[in-house]
Amino acid sequence: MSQPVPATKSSAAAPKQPKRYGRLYVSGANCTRQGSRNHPGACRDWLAQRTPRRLATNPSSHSLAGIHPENFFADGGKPLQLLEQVRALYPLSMHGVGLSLGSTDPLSKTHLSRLKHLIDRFQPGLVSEHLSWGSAGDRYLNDLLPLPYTAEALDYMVERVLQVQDYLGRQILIENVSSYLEFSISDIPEWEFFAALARRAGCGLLLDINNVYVNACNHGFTAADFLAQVPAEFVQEIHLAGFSINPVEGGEILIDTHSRPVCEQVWQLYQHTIDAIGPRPTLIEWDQDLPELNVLLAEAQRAEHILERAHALAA
Amino acid sequence: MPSLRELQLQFASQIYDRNLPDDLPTLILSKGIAAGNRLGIYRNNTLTGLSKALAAAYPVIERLVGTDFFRHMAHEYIRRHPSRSGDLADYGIAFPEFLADFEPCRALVYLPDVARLEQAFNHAYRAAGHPPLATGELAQVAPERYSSLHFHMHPSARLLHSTYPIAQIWEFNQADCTDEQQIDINSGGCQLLVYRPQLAVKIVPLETGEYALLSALATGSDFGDACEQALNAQENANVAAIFQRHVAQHTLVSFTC
Repeated sequence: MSQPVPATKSSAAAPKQPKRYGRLYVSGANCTRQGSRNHPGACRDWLAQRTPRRLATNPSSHSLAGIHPENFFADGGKPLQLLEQVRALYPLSMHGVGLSLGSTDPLSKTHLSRLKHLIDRFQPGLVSEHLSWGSAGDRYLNDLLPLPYTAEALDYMVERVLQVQDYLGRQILIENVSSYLEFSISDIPEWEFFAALARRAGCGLLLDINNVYVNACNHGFTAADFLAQVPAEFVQEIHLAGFSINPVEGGEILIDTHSRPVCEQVWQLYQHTIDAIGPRPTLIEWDQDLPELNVLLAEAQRAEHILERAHALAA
Repeated sequence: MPSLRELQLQFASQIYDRNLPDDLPTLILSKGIAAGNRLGIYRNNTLTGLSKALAAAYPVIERLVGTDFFRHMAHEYIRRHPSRSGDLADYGIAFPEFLADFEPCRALVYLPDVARLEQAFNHAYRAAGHPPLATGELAQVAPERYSSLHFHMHPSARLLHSTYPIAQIWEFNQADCTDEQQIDINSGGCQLLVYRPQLAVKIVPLETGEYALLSALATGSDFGDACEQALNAQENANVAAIFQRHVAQHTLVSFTC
C-alpha cells in the first residue's frame, strides 16, 4: 500500500472513480443507519451534538466523514450548511440506506435525483448502498431486508447496480447486511453472491465485518470463511459496529443495532482482515444509545492503531 | 419456487397486513426459531422505525399525548398509511388529517392544528433559501403599476390559522420551556406565518388584515386585490406598513409584473 493520501481542503474536486484513501478512520461523524434520526428533527439533534467545531479541534488529516445522504435530502437550511463545513474539513463517504436497491419495484426517480444532486454538490470520495431491498408494491418497510441468494436475484441485483452507477455516472460500493432469517430457496452462499455482484456489476464492496459476524452467529457459518472468500481488490471501505443479543423462543438472535461497542471477536476478525488485505478506510457505526464522545473516540483509535500498524508494515 | 417479486410482495404484506401468507413461512429456514418469530423481528424494525420517524416529526404531539399513547397511535397510522419513500423525512404527511379522524383523540380538538404547525415547521426547516426582495428593481416600477404586481413569498413560508392558541401550545411544549402557566384552549385562535428567513425557523403571529394580505398574495392575487382583501378582513389594516414589514423581514422575496 502506498503512502496515505491526506484529505485536505484542496481535495474538493473528487475524481469520478472513488479515490483509494490510504488510511482513514472515522467515527462520531457518522450519524445513523436508519430510523428516527433520518429526519429533520433528529438531524437537528445530531448536528447539535456532533458539531463541526468539535471535529475541527482535531481534524485528522486521514479522516473521512461518513454521512447518510437521506439526512441531507433538503433544499436548504442548517443541515446542508453544516455539511458544507464538514466537507471543508473532510472528504465524505455517502452511505445510503433508502434506495431499496434489491426491490422489484422500479427505482425511485425522486430518490435517485436527490442523491445525484447531493453527490454533485458535495463530491464525496465514496458512495455506497446495501445488498438488500426495502419496498414492494410501493410500500416501503424502511429496513435493510435480505434477498434470497439465487441466480435470479443475482442477475437482478447486477442489473440494478449497473442502472444506478449509470445514472450517477460513478462507481458505488455495496455493503453486506445483517440478517435474521435465511430463505430456503437460497442456493448461493452469501459470500459468493457478494463477490459475484462486484465482479459482474463492477461495483466496489463495503465490507461490514460486524454484519458478517452477526450472520455467522445467526445462521451457523464461520465468519473467517466468509471473509476469506471476499475478493480483496474490490473492498474499498470497512464498517465495524456493535450488536445486541435478542432472546427469542428457541434461541437467540444477534441484531445489528449500532448501539454497543465493537465486540472482541469482531476486532479480531478486523485485525485478520487488515493483515490479509491491507488497510482500508474504516468507519465505526454507533448511532443508538450514544456513549460519551471519548468512548466512541477510543473505539476509533483502536481501529486507527490497527491501520497504522498495517501502514508501517507496508512501508 | 416463487419469483423474487412474489417473495417480496408476500414479505411486505406480512409486515404491513399482519396476515401470514401461506407459503412464506415455508420459504424461511427455521433452524430452531420459528419463521414467524424471525419475521416478527422485521415487523418490529419497521414499526419502531416508522413510529420514531413520526415522533421526530411531531415531537409536540408526542409530548401532548404521552409516549405510550403516541406509539399506539403511530401503529394505527402506519397500518392506514404505509411509507411511500426511502427517505423517512417524507413520512407522516397525512398525520394532521389522521388525528382529526382518530376517534380516541376526538376530545383533543386542537391536536390536528398543532400537527399542521409542526408540519409547517419541518417544511420550513428543509426548504430552499432565497435572497431578499430586490428593492432596487421594485424602485424602478412606476408606483401606479404597484397594484398589478404579483409578490411571492419565501419558499419556506406557510400560512396557518386555528381557532385554538396553537403557537402558545407549541411554545409551552418545547423542551427548553420553563413556563408552568396553564393554557386556556378557548382563549382565542391565531393566524401564523411559519418560515425560515435565514437558518432559524420562525413562527410569527399575524394580525387579521396582515394574514388576509399574505394569503391573497400566496394564492396568486395581485397587490391591489390583496390590499382590498386585507381591508375587508380588517378595516383599519395599514397595508403599506404590512407590505414594508414583510419585505424587510424577508417574507416577500420576489415579484413579477
